[in-house]
Amino acid sequence: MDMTVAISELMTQHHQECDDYFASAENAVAQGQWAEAKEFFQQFENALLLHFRREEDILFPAFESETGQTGGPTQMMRMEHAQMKELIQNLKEACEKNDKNGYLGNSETLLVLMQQHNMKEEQMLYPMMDQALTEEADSLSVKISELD
Amino acid sequence: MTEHECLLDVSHLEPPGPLQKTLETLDELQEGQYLRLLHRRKPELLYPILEKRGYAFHTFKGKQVAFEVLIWKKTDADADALCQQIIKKAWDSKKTKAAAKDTPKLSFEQAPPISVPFRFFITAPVFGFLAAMVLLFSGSEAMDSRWTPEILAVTHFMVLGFTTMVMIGAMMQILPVVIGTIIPRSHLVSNLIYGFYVPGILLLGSAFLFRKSFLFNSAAVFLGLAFSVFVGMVLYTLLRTPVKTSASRSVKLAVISLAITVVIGILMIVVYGAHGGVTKHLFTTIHLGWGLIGWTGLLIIGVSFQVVPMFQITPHYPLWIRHWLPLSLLYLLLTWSLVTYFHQYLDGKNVIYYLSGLLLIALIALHSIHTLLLQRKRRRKIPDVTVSFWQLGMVSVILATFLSAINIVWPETGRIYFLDLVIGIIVITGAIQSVINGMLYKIVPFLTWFHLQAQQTEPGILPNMKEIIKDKKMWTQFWLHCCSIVGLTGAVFYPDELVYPAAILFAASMLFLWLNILGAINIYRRTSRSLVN
Repeated sequence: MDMTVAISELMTQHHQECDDYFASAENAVAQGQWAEAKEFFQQFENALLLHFRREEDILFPAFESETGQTGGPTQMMRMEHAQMKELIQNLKEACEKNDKNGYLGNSETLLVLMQQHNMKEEQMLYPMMDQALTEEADSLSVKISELD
Repeated sequence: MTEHECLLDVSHLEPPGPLQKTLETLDELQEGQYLRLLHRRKPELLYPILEKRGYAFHTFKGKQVAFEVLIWKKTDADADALCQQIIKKAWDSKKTKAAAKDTPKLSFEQAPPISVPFRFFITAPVFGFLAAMVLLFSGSEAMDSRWTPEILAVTHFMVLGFTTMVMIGAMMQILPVVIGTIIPRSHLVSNLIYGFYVPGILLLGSAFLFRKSFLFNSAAVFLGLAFSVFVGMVLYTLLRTPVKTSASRSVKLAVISLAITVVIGILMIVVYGAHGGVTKHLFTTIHLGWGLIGWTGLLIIGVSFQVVPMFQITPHYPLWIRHWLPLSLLYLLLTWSLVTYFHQYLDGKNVIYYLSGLLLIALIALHSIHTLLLQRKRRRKIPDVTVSFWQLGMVSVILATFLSAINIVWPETGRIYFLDLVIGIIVITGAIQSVINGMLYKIVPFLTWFHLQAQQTEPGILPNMKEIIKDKKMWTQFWLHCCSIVGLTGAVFYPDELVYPAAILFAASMLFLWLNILGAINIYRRTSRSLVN
């Protein structure tokens, strides 16, 4: 158990990776470097969607079957994922049109939504998962890392 | 399965097969071995036989089959030790699972109705404006000392009417996000708080200005009720949450400090009510310390641990700051209050007075310096008005702590340069108001978007945050705010020349902020109506 990384740690690292791509893309848009911006945005989108799948396909079902809480926090998290996907769509359109204001307005909105979402996961949901999924932690970590 | 374990699955056998097979296997069991029996039902018939033959047993809920029974010879010490170990392990894991299930369910449906926080946000600049008007109409005389009735009214319009007003509204909104519990009946609770709070502040302000007993007394009643409901609500939700983070700890300490500030404040109001006027009192300094450092300072510090790294994408504050700073501040504040109160009975001021006071401001400065350093490392480099407001706030804090140190060590110098008043202006408008103003520019547009998005039935284009409050409007207000801080500080030294322009600048800044928030509310109403149609 001590040898493996806790689920909360692994997933928090993913959040930070996503944040990094997010900031790089936004900085490039602000400077009007669209080629670079599009590249970073693509990396950000891939990282974020992968993170969602890791949660929705692996972690959330495991947590739900262990605790029987299907309608609770995980459902709320899924809803917020859907909201974020919609904003990602707006960002993509802004990218295609080289629309700086459109991008920055939507990215500001996504940042706040994403960070309050991450805050809830990192401080409440992941620690609960660590606690509830002690036995399965190793195999889940492997499954998470294999997904791409 | 180990060499000590003998596994027998009888779940597929028809009776009396399981019983027979079990007894046969038990006969073959060797010293140091135990039997793990997998069974469809609880083998009730088996138990008395086992008892008679000197076996011990323990039944678990099974994983693959319904039941698992451990069976071993009572006299076999090795097998007994092994089985006890297995039973204990199973028990422990069951306990942690039970604990996970028993934790009060987290509710992430965080959003109280939008009107709950927004009524506080839209009211705050009105009180700021009112403070500016009091200053404008009382003129240069107000700036004589921090004890003039006008300054007392202005100060309370600012700290109660502006900062605490926003902080209450923000707490109603973010408490559920930070600690994962819902505020029960948030609409009713916020009606109660708001309904007592707003008249309470108006009464207190007029009590200072007109020095009438009944005004003081009724202010005490209204503010007492408002704060009782608020503090009660926060402590109630904090007690019910399973989440213990540095943020929730700071919130708890801040609210305790608020309660202390309010109790001292109300005691003073009651005394003033009996006298029909304000007297200088030691309690004032203590009241001020708990209000500014305890309540406001601890809350902003607690919020900074979350908001700075996540929303500005910076590294995290080091763990020791997050863990030790809030609690150390509280203890130092307590020590400092006690010596401030008791040193009147001692010969001169003692070492603890200087030490606790200086340590207190050193820790606050440490937090501000650290925040500025983190912000320099931020990954999100684009201009952000909220970040600039934070930076202005942190620089103001550092300046204020420096001046406070002078004030503590050389009080005579402090008196010559009116340092009390200068520090007050820098702390309240420069530090606290800046941070809160900056936060409003994230919270208000986000909540507007968030609530609109919740009403959306099919995908469509909603106004994004920067369309809800335009960058240009926020920056204009930022610069007005900067100018008003400089003006107000200058007015301490040149009251005749500067008090009017400073008051007008300050009023303009508050008016602008009000218009910016109002603009967001109007966009919300308009879009919401078009979504319904």
